[in-house]
Amino acid sequence: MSHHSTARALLSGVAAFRNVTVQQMRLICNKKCINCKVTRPLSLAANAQQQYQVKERKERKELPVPSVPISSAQVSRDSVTVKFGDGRESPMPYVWLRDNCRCPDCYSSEALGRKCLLSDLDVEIQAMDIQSNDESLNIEWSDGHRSEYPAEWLHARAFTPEARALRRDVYALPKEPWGANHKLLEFDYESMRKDDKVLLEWLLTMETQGSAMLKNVPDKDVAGPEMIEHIAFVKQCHYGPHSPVINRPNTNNVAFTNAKLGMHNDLPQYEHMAGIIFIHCVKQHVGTGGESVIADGLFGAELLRKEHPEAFKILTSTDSYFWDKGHANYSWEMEEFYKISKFPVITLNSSKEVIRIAVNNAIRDSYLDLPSSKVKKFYESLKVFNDILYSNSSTFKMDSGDLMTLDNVRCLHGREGYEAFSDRHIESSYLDWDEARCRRRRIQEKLGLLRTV
Amino acid sequence: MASRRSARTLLSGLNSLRNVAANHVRASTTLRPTNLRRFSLAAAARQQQAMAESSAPLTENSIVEATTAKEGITLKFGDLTTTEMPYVWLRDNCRCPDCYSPEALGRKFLLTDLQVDVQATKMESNAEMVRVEWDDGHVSEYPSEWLHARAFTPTARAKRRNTYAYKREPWGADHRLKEFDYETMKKDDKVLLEWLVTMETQGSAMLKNVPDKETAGPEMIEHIAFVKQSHYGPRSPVINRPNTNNVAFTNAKLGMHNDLPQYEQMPGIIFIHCVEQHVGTGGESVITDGLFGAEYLRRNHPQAFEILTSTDSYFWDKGHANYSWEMDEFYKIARFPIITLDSQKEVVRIAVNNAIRDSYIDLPAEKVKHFYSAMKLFNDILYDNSLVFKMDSGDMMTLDNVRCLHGREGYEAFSGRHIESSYLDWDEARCRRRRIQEKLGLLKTI
Repeated sequence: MSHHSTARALLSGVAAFRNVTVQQMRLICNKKCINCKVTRPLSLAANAQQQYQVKERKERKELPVPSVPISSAQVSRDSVTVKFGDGRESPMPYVWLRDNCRCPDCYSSEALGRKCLLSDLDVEIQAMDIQSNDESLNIEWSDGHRSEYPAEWLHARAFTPEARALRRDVYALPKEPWGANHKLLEFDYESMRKDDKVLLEWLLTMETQGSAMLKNVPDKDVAGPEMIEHIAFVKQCHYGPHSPVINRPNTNNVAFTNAKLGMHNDLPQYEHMAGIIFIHCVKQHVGTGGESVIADGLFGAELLRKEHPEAFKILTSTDSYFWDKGHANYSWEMEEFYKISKFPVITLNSSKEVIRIAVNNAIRDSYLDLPSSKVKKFYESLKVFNDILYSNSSTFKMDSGDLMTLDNVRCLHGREGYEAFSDRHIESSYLDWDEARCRRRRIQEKLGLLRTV
Repeated sequence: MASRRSARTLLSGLNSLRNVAANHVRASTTLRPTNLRRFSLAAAARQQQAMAESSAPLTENSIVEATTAKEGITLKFGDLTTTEMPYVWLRDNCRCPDCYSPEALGRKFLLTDLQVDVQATKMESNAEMVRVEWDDGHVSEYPSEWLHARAFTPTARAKRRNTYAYKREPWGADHRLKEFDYETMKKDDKVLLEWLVTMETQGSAMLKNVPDKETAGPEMIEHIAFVKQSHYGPRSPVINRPNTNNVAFTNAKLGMHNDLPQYEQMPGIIFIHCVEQHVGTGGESVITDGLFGAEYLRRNHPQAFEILTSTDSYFWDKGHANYSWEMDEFYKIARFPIITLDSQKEVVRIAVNNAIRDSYIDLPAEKVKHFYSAMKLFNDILYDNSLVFKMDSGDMMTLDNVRCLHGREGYEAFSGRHIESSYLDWDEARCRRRRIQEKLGLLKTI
């Protein structure tokens, strides 16, 4: 069994987010064996008693409170309609209000989480008495409970299209599809690392455009993982924390050859697909070959939806198998792996929005879970989509020192083949979307651009 | 129209069947006339002779009949499996070194180069293989075993589905957690395989005799694959923390929930290690099968089911590190339904967590009460079909964290109660399951 602790040892440089490595964890042992040379710090739990005394909450500058006074509160059967000074107006259902009482019994202001139990919530709860003033809404409930809701808190949570859209943006910014004339926004690697304003710009660019180019990247294999660790932490897979994309003998993946690679994204053999791929061109191929091609899968999928609805239906409702079986090439890869995943080429969420594209001709399995009568139509749809992707792609050759970042569940990339004897060296590494958006929100807060009410 | 010429020998009990089908395929109108090819009878006879040399006994994989049709080749195997193999699919999956890398185990052939209307100009077969000449000049050869495994029949497709993931077996209040000895599981891959299969099918198990160290969970996970990270680090002391960053890390009662719905990539398997149990009243565990509950809801309360599968909930988690291994500052928001269906309308994920469920709801006001009614109904079903027990110190419960829910009774504030939680992703768990099956000869990869 390979140890991923060795993988971490490969990461040089200081990680802003300190992980407890497996090595460290193994060292925390309660036994006191005489001959054991393992150093024995305190157990994590005992440590904990000390640690959170040490860890002071960072000072955060308070934003000026926007003025959104309550101007009126109108009682109805199931809700109270609150009107605010800026004209916003919304019914606030009683069940929702009671569910979200902020008193210390119902809500933990330090943990920032609801304490009251769903089992105790009465869907038919009634408000016996409602008082409101500029600053708050005060309710006495039929279960005897009392709740107070600050005006600003209510205002942010109004059930209006505008307020709901604002929250949606905090969750994730709307994506901006792009086509063949797209230009990658450029970021200086060091600036991005040193300046959170630049990092924020990159994070926003990735959320909206799903693509960017880092320039002047340090000439070391771990430049990608180091940036990722600076943002959050590296996404692991059976290839370890980062992969040398070179022409490997006895390779365990078609990508690690000098062959031409059709348009694809990485790791669809993982149902938890990597969110953002960092493609670091350590050294580009000299001579013909090695060019990159990229396309926006979201653009392509929406075009498909409009112009080839049958193909769209097929690609969103047919599960594909993606598989990856192999053995480690390097010590930081998993010794033996056998991944199979199963999901559509185009995945829709419950609102029928495109949330994931999965295209990879090497990884796409030979097994198809279809009756044979449906197979040809499936291939036709695959081909139509492939043509659309290529028709709306852009091609360029990365320079040594470039690092392309792509939304890996949205955008596709490919490369031209290159001569077998080549120094071409790409390093690929991954960051998950949960973490990227998390970092984006925290930087926005830190810079006073996002106020959490 | 394809003509058929096949020589068939009746099966004898001694498996002495030799079958050769040399077929002539008339070129379709899309091909150039020079692709038309006809064997002379003599040439066909010579070929039959050559093909007949392979004298392996008939098995279930053996091809007993191969005929060409408009869209593909119809094959019949020794076990009577009959299937049509579409030409486009065959061409896409040619196994020659130009099209497929046997060391990388991946397709090299580019989708751009695949012609959906590819036609076979010639097809030959014997018991062990099918050989096709294509109108693009390419030649492909397919072993019978390889073809048989990929037949487009319900049986073959179900087999592959199992290799991918076993069918889950829903359970209710009469469920008993299967038990596994921790050390045995770590030393013996047969036992580890049993646990992996149990987790895939039942989504729940109890490890016993767990070593008395906080890292016992992560160590087992690293033995299987690697620990799933979150902003809480590689594992979490679930104790009554002052200045806590999560309601779970208190002594409060926790309603039925699963962990980390604030992560869209929710952890697959949770390892709940009871390092030390609370002495006295409190600290009991309750568990339930969310899949069982969801299917019950689907059957008996279709409206509520529709609401919970089509309404996105926000799950949020904002905070600061309690310990050095946690992320300094975090602010997660995830957005997806309480019950997530896949493209085949099967339940693939449940997300229930009253602490993490956001106050923001992306609904018009008039739909809010219905949403709460549906949530309450689901909650009641979960509790009606749950089991309650008190873990012992040294127990470690493992649960499918996207399927099953768990809760705990509150306990007194001053307590030695100490749980450690850690996570393993499903991609890795099933990966390990397949590799152990291969290692033990229980899974053959063709």
